[in-house]
Amino acid sequence: MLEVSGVRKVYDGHGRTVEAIADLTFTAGPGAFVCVVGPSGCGKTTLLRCIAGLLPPTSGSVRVDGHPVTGPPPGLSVVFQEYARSLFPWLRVADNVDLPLRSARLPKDVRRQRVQDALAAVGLTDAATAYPWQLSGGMQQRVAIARAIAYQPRVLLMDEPFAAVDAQTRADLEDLILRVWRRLGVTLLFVTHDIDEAIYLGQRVLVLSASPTRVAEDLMVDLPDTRDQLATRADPRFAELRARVYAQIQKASPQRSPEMTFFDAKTWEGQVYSGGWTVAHGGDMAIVEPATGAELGRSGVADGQDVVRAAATAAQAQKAWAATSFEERAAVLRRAGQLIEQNAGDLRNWVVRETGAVPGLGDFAVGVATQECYEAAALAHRPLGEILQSNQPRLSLLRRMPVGVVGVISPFNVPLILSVRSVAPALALGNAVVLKPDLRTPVSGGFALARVFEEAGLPDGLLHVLPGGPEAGEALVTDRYIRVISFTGASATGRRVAELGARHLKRVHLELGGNSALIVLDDADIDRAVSAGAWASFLHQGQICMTAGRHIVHESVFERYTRALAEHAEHLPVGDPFTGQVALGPIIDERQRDKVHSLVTSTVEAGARLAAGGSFDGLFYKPTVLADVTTDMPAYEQEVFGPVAPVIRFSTTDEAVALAADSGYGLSLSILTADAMRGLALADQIPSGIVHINDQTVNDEAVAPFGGVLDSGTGARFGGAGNLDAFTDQRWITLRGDIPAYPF
Amino acid sequence: MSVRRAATAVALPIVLLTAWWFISAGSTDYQWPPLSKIVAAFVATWTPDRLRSEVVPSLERLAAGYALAVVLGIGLGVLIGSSPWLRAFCEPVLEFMRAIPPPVLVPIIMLVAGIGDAMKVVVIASGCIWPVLLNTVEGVRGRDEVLSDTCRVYGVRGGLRLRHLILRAASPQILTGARQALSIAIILMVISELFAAQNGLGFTVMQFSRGFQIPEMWSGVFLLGFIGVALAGAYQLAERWLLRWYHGQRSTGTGPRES
Repeated sequence: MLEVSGVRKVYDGHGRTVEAIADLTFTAGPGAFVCVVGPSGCGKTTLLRCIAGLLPPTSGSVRVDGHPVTGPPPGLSVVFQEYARSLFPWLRVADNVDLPLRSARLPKDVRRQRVQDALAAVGLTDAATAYPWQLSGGMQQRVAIARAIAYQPRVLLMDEPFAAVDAQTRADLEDLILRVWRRLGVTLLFVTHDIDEAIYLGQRVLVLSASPTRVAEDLMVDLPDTRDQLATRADPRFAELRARVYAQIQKASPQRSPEMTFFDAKTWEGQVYSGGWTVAHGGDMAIVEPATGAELGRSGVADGQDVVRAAATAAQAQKAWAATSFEERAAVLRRAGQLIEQNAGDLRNWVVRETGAVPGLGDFAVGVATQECYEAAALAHRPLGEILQSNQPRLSLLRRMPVGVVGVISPFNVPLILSVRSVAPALALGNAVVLKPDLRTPVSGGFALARVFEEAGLPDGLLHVLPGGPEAGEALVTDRYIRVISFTGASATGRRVAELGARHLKRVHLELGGNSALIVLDDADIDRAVSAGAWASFLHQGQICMTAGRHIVHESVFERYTRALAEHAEHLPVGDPFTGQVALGPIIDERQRDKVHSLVTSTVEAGARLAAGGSFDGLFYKPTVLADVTTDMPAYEQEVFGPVAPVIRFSTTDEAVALAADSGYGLSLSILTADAMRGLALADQIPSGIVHINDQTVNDEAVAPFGGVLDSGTGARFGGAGNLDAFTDQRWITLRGDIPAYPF
Repeated sequence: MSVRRAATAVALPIVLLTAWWFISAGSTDYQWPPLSKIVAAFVATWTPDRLRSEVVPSLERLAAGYALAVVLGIGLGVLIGSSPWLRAFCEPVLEFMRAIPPPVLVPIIMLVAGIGDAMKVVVIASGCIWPVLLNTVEGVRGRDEVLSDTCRVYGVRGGLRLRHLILRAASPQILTGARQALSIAIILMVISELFAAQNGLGFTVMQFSRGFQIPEMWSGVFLLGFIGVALAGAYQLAERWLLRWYHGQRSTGTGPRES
């Protein structure tokens, strides 16, 4: 029986007191198996030491079997995490188990019997005469357990006993502990950081809050008494308990004021993120919800000065970051991924309201952002380089070095994905980042990531989020500390970035516009093709670089396809995606809308047939189908960046290839056909960074290479292994034992 | 020890002795007698009687002084090492005492302990105690906290704790100190016999030197060398046995991290 009442522990030192445990009260009845979990640093070990009588609590009391604990109580034993340090290396295994019994002055034959039984119980009879250091880690911890058993305690404390052994050994030891506990009927308090282990082992799980520690939740584990590594963990109740404990720990971890949400406009309030939230030189401006015109908050506006200062700070911070272990960097990225997952709904709402995306697309963006963080975490684990062949007697190495500071410029359309896909891998590989999101979407393009990485424990100065206009952009591209630019946006701006970057000899990754072709062959399933075509042109109001800007349809199905697409378009609801069930939200602003509309009207004037749409209400532009277009019509020839589907006909496949290839761009290509190999053969003749056979043009995954050719950019610099090349420099290193003799 | 290693170990001494033998063969300089004469003198001088009358008393004093130093050093070291307060209190004095070369203490010790065997034992002990004491303090202080906690939890205290925790945990350092002390002990054994002695190895060598019995003097120097080597060898065997756990643990790389 173990009673902990009102225990508080304050550490005093060097003029500063730290409250490790605030107020802990719980009891564990005779024979109970209680697991204690909590966020790291929550004072689990302090609690255990207070119970063991190794540390006096500042106030409150601990009772074991009714007796107050003042020093280590009799009938209590402890299994420590550090097995290698808790066994006596100069004593053989049996003597290690025997020593506590000798101190208890038990008769020799009793001792011998107990040692034998205990070693048999943990399966170490054969190792009795070995020294602990001759055994594996798992076996050493078994010895420590045997020592605890032989002592026949009434209370057994275990402090993360399996944290340092491998997974298989751990599973074995967990089952061993369950057997021992059943046999001894001992009260067992098991401290662990592993939620699964706690639920698997315990009858009860105590969840502690972050320091100063309290009991956040006392959870009964209603799983069958006999536990099984596979069956128990597969039990739906197990998953339920796990989720509950996990949520409880997460709630207990960060210390935020409860009235603020994770992504709260009050956090930035007219500021930018550069060494904490700070006022920018360029003043501030409203963040407007395009669907309603409402102000969602205010953003700081960075100018050139802000960028220069941020880049210098970032360069300074980057040195230490590059020197941290890969595990530390990976851990930050993993936590960032977790934080995005935990606050997915909140973040989705920002994407929806700020960019006008429908909730489905918002969820998709949040999902990709999570995946980008986890992929980046894995990227940090990749080998640093290669050992090269050399014709000299020397070690010749390729070592990847972080580039230093990476400048990221992201656009307004899908800012969350287009920022995080550079920010996450660049950070993971040891770089610092200065991120300039579009002024219209500073939150989902930047502040959201600032919040995530701030909470994920990214060291100060490594990520700067500076929403700004052309001046800030130019400062970013020309700054001396920024060596690599990752730009996503319009081709004209991209060209300017490339020119400026070239003058400063920078590496520039460009992911620009597109006018992607969607080819419908005569053998395609037309109903599916229409649905895919509508999605490709109208998703996110056509404001996606991969949007299908040209529907190239075989003449035999042309009429049917156009009619069905127009009908489809007529029935798609357009409106505020945050409050209504709609398929299309608003265009980002009036300028974009007017540009879209002028392309549509001039195309109609040039002789195209307006099969659907072509009108707007405020920023809500109706999905538009333009039939009978020719190659010289503006909406066909140019990138529209609006919900417009120009449809053109072809008669032979050669003609289809010629039409599709006749474009300055080359981002995404879709071919819909019953014969996938034929589709692939056609695709081989058309320049494009991305090809989807029997799928539409808009697709994205963090693990896939992403980027276009021709005017669409500099190729696949994002996603998959491309990130490694994009954000590191390759250094050639050679080493030899002696300096070679040279002719002079 | 393999044959190869044994051969490596004795190769240089053999070469040196052979060179000495031939270089000194025709020497008429009485300061540098031929090695053959020294060997002859060694056999003639160090008869069993001589060994009993001169060498045994020296070794007895060495053993007594060394033992005294080790026992006192470990005892005081455990005491001082266990208390941070006591350690801070004693440290300056210990450092001061350690810095004094023991031979200069001989006249002072003579005033207190007279000129008999007691004086010589005290001289040896006073020089040997410092490495043992200071190393023991370090060893006791630096023991692993987890092991200490383990002892507290299981109620291991008193003599059991001293034997199985404190002394064993400190033993690698203690034995390092004791090894340093052994070489100091041999030096001090000789030095103590240069003052007011009636017998002993140092005394005898001094006598030969003063009586211009140069080959005999050389043979005494050789004997001292042999005794030193023999003691060091015996020590090494003892240490290896006492610290077999320590060397085993280190070679498997499972030892506690240095903290």
